Amino acid sequence: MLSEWLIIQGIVERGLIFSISVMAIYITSRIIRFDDLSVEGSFGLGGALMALLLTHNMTWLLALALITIAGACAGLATGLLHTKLKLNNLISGIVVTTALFSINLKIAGSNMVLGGKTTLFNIIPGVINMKIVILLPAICALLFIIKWFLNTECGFLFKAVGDNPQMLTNLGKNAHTYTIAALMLANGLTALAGAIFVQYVGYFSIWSSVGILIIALAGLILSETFGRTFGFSLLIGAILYQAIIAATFEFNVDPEWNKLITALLIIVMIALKKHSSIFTQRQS
Amino acid sequence: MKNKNIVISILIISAIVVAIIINKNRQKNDNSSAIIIGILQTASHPALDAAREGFVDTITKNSNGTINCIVYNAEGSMINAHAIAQRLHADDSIKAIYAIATPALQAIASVEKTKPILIAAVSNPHDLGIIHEKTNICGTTDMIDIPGTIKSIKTILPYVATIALIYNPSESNSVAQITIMDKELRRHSITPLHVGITTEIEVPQAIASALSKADALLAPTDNLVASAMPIISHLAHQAQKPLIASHNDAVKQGALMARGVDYYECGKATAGIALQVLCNGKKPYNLPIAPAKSDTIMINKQLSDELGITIAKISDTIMYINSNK
Repeated sequence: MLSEWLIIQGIVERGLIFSISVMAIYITSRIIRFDDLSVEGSFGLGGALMALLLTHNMTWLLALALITIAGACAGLATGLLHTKLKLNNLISGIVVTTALFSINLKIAGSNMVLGGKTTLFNIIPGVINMKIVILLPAICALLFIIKWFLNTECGFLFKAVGDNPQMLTNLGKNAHTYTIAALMLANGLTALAGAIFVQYVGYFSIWSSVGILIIALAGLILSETFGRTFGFSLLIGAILYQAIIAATFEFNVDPEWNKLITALLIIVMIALKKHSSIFTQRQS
Repeated sequence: MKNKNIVISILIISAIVVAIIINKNRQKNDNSSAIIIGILQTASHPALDAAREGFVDTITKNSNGTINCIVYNAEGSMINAHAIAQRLHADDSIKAIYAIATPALQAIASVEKTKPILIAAVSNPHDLGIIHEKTNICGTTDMIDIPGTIKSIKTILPYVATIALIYNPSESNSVAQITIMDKELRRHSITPLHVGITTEIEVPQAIASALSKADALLAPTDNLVASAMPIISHLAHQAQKPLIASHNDAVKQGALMARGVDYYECGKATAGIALQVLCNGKKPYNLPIAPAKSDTIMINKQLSDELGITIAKISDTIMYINSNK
């Protein structure tokens, strides 16, 4: 019983951390309709900076604030490349991620160990093995703050960038400004996720950001089977994807089949949901 | 409804696959009295596979079926490695963990503080901040004898003036070795030329450029280089320039020579330590982390003949092997 709980706890904890990236992808892909690939770079940037700042004895709270700003700068770069140099949105993201790989290597090297520094997970003594106690309220609070923000005037203008850019022009607003602002928000969030992940595992590795884009996108798609608005479905989607990865290992087959099984499980999840929605439509 | 049929057929196929898998899984776990070792492998490539096979073969041979191994492979993803690590930590039937390569070790060491962790293919475990007085980690490292390697290059290839160092700057084990290689090369008045590659796609361009500038190529025990060894050796062969690797399998894949680590032997050595811990009740912190043996020079016979290299008499043991083509 205890051992199953440990596995589930791990799934939820990782899911909660990656749900921040899912929120970021939701803001870019669904609100401003800009497929932003720079999240992979900013996740690593957040991690690298966290490792560097903590080993230089900065407190974690100040470090998190600085990292969010640094991530926003990465988003600013993507946004400027797209709006000022007129680069295609995918290319802007790829360029920024590529550049950040080198920058992250320069910041923290390929591997940096935190070595017992005080982190976010030390604020309540004795919960070091129950990180969920800290993560769950923190991530929920973050979700509410962003949900609230998206309902402010600025949030509605973000939505207009994706739905009806002409409306912004009619209002006398610059659509580019809001695109950049949304990208800054999204990348700041992803950097935050990277910084929390590094504190969670206790070390930075340049490879930890590889595949984060797929994790975030898959989390987003899975979450949309529960609801299309910004809300708890994003957390559920991210956790579900981690559960799928964990389930793959539970089957304990020849490891070469793992990715195929992960893919099949995703198909089953989405197909099940689609199937049931066909059913409800027929009833109504 | 066409859509519905597709969905149902997908579901049926998946259900069958899952049923087969679960069934297979049950058969595997029948022998419930056995000790189970969970293996966490960082990625699939010949060197790490050899480290796994050496371990599993030795354990099977010496334990009379009392120890079983379950293999998990993170396929290069840190996040997968963590998911597996958590699983291994939580499973009470798993008594020990065998971590292959640094990322696997870091993932498991961050969650597992009590069960013994056996390691192989890790270059510098002491730099990871996880080895302490009461550590639960023991095994072997794959640190090569770099001064020895450079000395044998100097003897066997005396004409070499510039050597391109091929490595992935984002692998900490490689960076650690490259620092020493650079220093040793300069001491022997050979000019080192650093060639960093971070993805396999960059390999052909980077190697072509390196071959045009340097007299020979030298690679540390780098995971990316190990994966890309066939293409690297092919390009070096085309340019008729020697390629010196740091893992012995590379010689079979077309490197000229290696004075490195045999990963199968590493796995075997770690398995020996595992048996001491699991069967003889030794504590991991009483077993020092042993360096791998690397005193034999492997030389590819076909290639050395083709390049017209005469091997001078040296004190090290030389083994001639052929490419497996």
